[in-house]
Amino acid sequence: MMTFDSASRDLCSVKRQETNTPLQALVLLNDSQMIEAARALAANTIKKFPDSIEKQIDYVFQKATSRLPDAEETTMLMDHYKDLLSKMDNGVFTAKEYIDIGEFKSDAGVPEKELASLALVAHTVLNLDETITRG
Amino acid sequence: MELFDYKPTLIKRKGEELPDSIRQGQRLTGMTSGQSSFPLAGSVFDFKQYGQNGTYISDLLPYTAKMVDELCIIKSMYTEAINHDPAVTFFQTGSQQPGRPSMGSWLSYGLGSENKNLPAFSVLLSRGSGRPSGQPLYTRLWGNGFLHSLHQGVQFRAAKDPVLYLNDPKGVSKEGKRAILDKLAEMNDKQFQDFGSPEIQSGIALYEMAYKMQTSVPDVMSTEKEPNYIYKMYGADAKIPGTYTANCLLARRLAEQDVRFIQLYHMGWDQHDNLPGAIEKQAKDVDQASAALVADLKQRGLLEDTLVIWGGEFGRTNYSQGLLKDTNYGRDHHPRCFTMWMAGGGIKPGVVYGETDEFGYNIVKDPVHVHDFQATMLHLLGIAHEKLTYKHQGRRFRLTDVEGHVLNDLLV
Repeated sequence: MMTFDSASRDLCSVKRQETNTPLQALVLLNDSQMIEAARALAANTIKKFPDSIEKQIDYVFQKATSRLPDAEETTMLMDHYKDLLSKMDNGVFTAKEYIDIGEFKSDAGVPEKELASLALVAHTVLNLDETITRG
Repeated sequence: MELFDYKPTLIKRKGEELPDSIRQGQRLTGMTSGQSSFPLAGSVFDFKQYGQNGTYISDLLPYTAKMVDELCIIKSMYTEAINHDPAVTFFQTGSQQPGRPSMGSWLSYGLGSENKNLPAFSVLLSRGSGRPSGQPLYTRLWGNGFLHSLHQGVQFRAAKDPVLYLNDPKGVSKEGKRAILDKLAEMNDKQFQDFGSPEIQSGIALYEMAYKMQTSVPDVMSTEKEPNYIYKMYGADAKIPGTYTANCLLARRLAEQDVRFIQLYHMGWDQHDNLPGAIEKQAKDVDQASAALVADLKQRGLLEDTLVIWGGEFGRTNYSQGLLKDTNYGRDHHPRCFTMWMAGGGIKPGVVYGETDEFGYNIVKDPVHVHDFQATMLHLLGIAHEKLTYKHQGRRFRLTDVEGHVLNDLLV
């Protein structure tokens, strides 16, 4: 939290300082909590819409940004999902390792590659400038 | 007066009242304005002469003293600010009121970065032993003000891992991370096309920098690979992360990687009381490593391309704050004169510039205002201080605001 300018709590702080540094990007990209959150979101989404990838993507996007993706964005994210799935378990991503990060255990029966791919899409969406910037 | 400005008059006239003719109406802080007397306090530390010019340096800085022939010591710095926050803000941003870009940000904006894999502006902090809980710092001191946020200073942690979260998550290879970053850039760029906010572009750049730092930072920060003679040169503390010594070694490594601006803050000065005991500790914290940094850059042939700057935001009073005892006294803030030194980067070595009066209170020769210092610094880095401007709130701002002249006498 200190990377995100939370108070150090040894002194009274009236207003938080505001910085915007690559250190924060590193947290959002690599922290296991973020990855877990993305996976939990993905798992719940697959449960809700087991038959439509497009609905899954819409739902994840809406959860993060409070709006639905427009046509261009939907295409970008669908391409992303397909790209990730194609790279799953052949040297670029390893599904089992990725969905094992953190403590949240998703339900058995969710296919690993699909879960990992949607989790990566969710993680991407959670890192969008629009998601992380207030206002 | 404890480190660089030798004042035998203060020692001779110890305990006498500060004459009005010397004080000339200088405002006092609330910490000493209530005092009924202002007894002159000479330093309890001895000064000796060093180098080709017989420069006086106090016994508190034996290592710095040995490097005197490389240093340009300015004894006639002055500022208007009398308290820390406005004074440090003034030195860093050119204005006592916060909100403006810091000097590192100006340099990042004006000169760009020579190493795309590390932040152009890096900041390292350390706590001093002279006053371990004193002197807070604010991230706006290395902030970007109204310039793009990619020009702000990146503060490394004072710990074994200066940057956290450098490792990719399990199950994600570098190529996989690249795919995510590319998609982020693509989608964020669409947002930028739609909304035009330049901060989105900064955001994209920050993520790129984060990716690059995952490889570049571990390399730079792995000081265990340094040979033993380096640890001897800097001091044993070089192995303890978060110390000033360790930060100096890191600074040299960052400089080797062409990081544009590296700033070290060492807190714990400001000895309002118990000065002699505390400043001895502070000086010991910084002396050897500061001198070692200059020597190390020199032996690597980097000193001529690296400007090293050392100093604080104002000086101290020549009278004692609180009771003046034989071996104990304090000093309050004094904006009218203080000392900084520079080395390398085109500044004349082995020089002492400027003089203060025998009371160490006023400048009598070659005054150097903070803006003059900034103008000179920018000039040495290849920037005309009046030309590097940015339009904001209807007018053009620059680090030196509307003042400052380059000290040509100090240039090689």
